[in-house]
Amino acid sequence: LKAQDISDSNWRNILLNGRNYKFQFLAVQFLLTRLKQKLQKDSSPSQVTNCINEIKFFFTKYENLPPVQEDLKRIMGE
Amino acid sequence: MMMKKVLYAPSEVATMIAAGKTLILAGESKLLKQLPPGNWIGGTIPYFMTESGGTISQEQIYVTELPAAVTDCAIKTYTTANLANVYQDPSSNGFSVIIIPSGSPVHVDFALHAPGYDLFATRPLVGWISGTHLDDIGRVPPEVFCGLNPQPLTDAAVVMHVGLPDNTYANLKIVNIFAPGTGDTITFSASGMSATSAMINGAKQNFAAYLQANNIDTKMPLVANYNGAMINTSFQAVDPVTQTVKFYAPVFEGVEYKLAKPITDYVNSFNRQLPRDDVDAIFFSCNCILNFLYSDLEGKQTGGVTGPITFGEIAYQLLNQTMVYLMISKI
Repeated sequence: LKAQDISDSNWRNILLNGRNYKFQFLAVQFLLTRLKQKLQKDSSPSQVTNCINEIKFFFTKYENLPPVQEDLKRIMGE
Repeated sequence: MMMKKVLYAPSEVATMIAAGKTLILAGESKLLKQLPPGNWIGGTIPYFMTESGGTISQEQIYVTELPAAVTDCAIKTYTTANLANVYQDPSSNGFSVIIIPSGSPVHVDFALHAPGYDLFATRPLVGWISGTHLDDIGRVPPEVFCGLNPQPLTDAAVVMHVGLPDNTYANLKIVNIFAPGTGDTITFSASGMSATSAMINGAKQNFAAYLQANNIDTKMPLVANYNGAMINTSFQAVDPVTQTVKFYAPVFEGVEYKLAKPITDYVNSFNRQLPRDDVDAIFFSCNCILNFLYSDLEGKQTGGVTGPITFGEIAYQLLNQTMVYLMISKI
């Protein structure tokens, strides 16, 4: 699975709409918490775009790791 | 799992350093001061989980040797002026090990601001807060050592940036036996290592008074759900005069906390959560001094996982009452 296959609107839902995935990779859990906190304070379009870019960068960088693949499966609903 | 020796005399550690081994060390200051320059970092602490269980030793050093698969290694010290770069500095695949002296400005900076550092969590950062024997708190300063020039440091963090081959990866995990209880939801209006007030189910109250009125056992931490990871904040003290509650790690604005469910049998609770597979792949681990104390771990084994017992654990950010471990696995 590739991070680029996840649409920006899907990333937006993960960051802004309270759906709780049971992510496995600790870094994903921390990073998402930080980004959600950021967006609680400022959910302007530019901030949302920054946060989407940050989470996409992370998943793209580590998409070949087995635990990140598991988390991508969760996002894609497999 | 084959249990390996982890505590060594300073002379044995000196021999390893002279042989060119790259080491992460934990022990009393007087022991680390005896070591020659070399590829090592260290921090002060006399408490350990060893192959024979929880141990207090002021005569031996806990040794973690870097695995053979390591491709490169760089040792660096950080102060509050550059600690925010800790996630940016290494570029290769791998992980970083950090040791920070308890109570130092770098400790406070890391505790409060690590989640905001550039590239936070984009590379495994594992480590611990150095301390002292509990009888020496307030008299003996916690220290860290940079083996390249092994002088004790009380106001800097020491970091070993470690590179791994592309066909391996470092996976940082935690074991937290605490779970959020079903009681009040607690939030804070500002991030900090202490708080006077908190929002209890949305209503502002003096937090110290709330803890006292509800007879809260402050050996149990606050627990927050970080997208599935249960993260603790431990109570340090409740000052009845100033009505201030002090913590061993920060509470963060915007995070919802619950008081932890009580634990009756720490060792069994802990052993139930230990990894069952690939335990041999655990390269480094540490556990919290509060777990050691509150659960009376001296002489007890925790599933064969060994490491220093610390004044704070680091897995990307500062944690409390948690076991942290780093596994190196093939992709």
